[in-house]
Amino acid sequence: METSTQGMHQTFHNIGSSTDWIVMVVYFIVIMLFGSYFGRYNRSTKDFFFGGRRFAWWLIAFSIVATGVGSHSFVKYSAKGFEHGISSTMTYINDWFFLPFFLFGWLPIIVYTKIRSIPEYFEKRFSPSARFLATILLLFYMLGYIGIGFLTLGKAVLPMLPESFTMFGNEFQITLMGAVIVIAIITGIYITFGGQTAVIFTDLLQGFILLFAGFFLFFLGISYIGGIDVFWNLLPQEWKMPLAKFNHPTDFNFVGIFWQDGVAGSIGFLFMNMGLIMRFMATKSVDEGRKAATFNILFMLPLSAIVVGNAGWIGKAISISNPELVPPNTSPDQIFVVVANIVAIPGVFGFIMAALTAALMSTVDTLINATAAIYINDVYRPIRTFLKKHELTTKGEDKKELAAARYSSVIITALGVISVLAFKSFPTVYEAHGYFHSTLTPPLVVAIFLGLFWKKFTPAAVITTFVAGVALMIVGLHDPNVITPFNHGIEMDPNHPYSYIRALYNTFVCVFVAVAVTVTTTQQISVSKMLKAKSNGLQIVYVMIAIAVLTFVIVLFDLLPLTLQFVAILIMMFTTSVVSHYFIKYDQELQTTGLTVWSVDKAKEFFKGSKINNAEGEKIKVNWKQVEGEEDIVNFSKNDMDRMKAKVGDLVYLCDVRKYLGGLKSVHSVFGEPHDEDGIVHITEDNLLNGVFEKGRLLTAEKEM
Amino acid sequence: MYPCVILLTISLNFIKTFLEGYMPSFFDTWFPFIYLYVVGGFFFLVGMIIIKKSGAINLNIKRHKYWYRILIFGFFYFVVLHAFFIILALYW
Repeated sequence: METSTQGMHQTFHNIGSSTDWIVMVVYFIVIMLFGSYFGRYNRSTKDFFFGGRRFAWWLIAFSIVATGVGSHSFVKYSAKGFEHGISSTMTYINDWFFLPFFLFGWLPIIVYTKIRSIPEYFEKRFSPSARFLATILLLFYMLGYIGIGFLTLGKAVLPMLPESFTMFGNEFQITLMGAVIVIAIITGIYITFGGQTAVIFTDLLQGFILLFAGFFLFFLGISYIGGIDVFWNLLPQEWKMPLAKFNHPTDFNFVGIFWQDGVAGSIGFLFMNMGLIMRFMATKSVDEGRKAATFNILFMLPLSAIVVGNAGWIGKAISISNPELVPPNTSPDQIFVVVANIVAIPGVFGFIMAALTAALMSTVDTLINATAAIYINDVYRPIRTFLKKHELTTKGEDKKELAAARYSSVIITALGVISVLAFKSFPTVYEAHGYFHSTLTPPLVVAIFLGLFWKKFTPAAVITTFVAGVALMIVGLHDPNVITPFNHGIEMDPNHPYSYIRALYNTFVCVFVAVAVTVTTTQQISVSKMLKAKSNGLQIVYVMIAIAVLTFVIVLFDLLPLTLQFVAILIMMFTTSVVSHYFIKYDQELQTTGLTVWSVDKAKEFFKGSKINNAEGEKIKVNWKQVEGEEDIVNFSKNDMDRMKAKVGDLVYLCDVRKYLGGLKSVHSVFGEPHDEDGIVHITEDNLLNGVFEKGRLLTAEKEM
Repeated sequence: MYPCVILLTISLNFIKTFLEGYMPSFFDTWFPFIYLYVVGGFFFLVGMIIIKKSGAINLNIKRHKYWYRILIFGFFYFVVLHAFFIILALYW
């Protein structure tokens, strides 16, 4: 093990032995083979991205652990655990507040409206232009998230590598960016050949391994220190608190992190993170999605909080009892690796590091997969539709889309690497992630939230939020003093001003724009009608667009004094909203039905295509028999349909009877006309192939709605 | 809302100054807990009211009643969890 000092912090290199590297390589090969095995279940882009909406809640709940733990990584929480103690757990235990909105608002709507991406919701609820702007913001968000993932991976692996290596007589320095690029290539290769089903199953395996590895490390650490009592008594009292100090220090305080993570982060994670949403959409029903989300937040996140932070706490305790072994000025982002190396024997250390890096790769994989889904749905398809080349029904088109999804994954991976540059200057990954959340989530969070819960929220309001809201956020970036009234007493760090509490300012300005534009809708419509009546109305509208664009440029490059910028943004709010009303045709009744929380039942009806049958029937076990036919229907006997309280046209879910498969072999279909063979379902070849059913295996059948 | 935020900041500073005279660590121990569950609780309550009023959760359906109870249970589960760990940190 080598050490060097960079600035205030001591950094480590060459940690680990060759045994550890062998264990890591073997682990990666096993995980990739495991994923590739399940990759064969991808039959279409629907499967590639969504896993075919078939899985049981427990499978998704455990697969989310690897995604959540990976993204809220070992590296950053161990760093904060080392610097501030057990309060590193607080971001894992503040997600419940928005769960009612998610379970009974967002989740049923995204499933029942059959949307494939968040921007698609914006088109249905508002307009194509709202979708376009949402796509841009969401792509920024996802690429930033991928960048954070790569940065964390790089920081995790770097302590294990030498400072430099020699090749062909030349000495090469190993840099963070170099490590990130190599990792990105490995990650890109895996996701390109995997797909969502592969990711779900590798994440399932890794979820278990991560929990095991994290608790194993905790156990080893406690044993190393001399028992839980010694550990607890070594920690200073403030290190034992589950919540950070209210408003200090600037790099880790409760109130800033509450608004950045508890509010913007939680909503962003549940409502905007396409990777996570696609997992919930992969469950067999909305109710299973609810179970997965609830179980995850109630049980898995508190456990994960211990798993990811404990290396920092152990590191702190060792640094007090033996400061020569773990110097108090150890680079916080390296503490996980340093502690794991001290408390674990060679081989075990390699296993822990493999679990960590593989989990991080899972997160990045999921995000790349999700970003590719956004690209296909919101860029590729609209462009092909525009060029009149798109025919959804043809299988050839699906193949082309699958290929485009794979190519786009590679490009997204490269853009993710580039986005690392934006976050590299932050002292820790935690602060980089906090800043990222505070800055990129508010406009979309506000737009999704108000769109979902406020019927009066108009396309003009959402577009103005995206434009003027972002402009006001940029003002806050240029002049952090505007955030001061929101700071709750947090001091401003001139290098990274208000990294966390800026989330409150950004959310506030976006809500302000959204509400102000919505409540003045009548006046905007009057102006827009007046313009339509004028002969030179269109020219005036073009001038208004130019004013909005000019204002945005002025704000972006900080070309005017602050007060004038605010005035210009107010004018921009007016022009953008009027222009939106001028061009966008919007029918509030039509475009809110089934798309807001106020009409979830309608969404369910649209999903089914007819009235909902809410009668609660039995789940039954049946044998299957293949029949000829092209239609997507299955036929049961009259008696079996009575037991399930099903009618012709209702939706049915058929699944292999082996529960441990978690719905891997299953299919959704529609009840057809009944026959007379009790205990037997008649099923077509297409449904058999989709369900991957085996001869002689019983199926469970249940009426969905 | 802007004056409210300023008022809130002033009030927080006042509470801090007042309480520090009597209970030095309150502002950094129990106050974050209170803030978390008062402000977070407000969001939670609004969510519960909206999903109930909109009919998204229908308490006449057995399954929905179950979910309603789970949601309330979850809130208090986290309140107790945090309170327990604060007590543990302060007194154990």
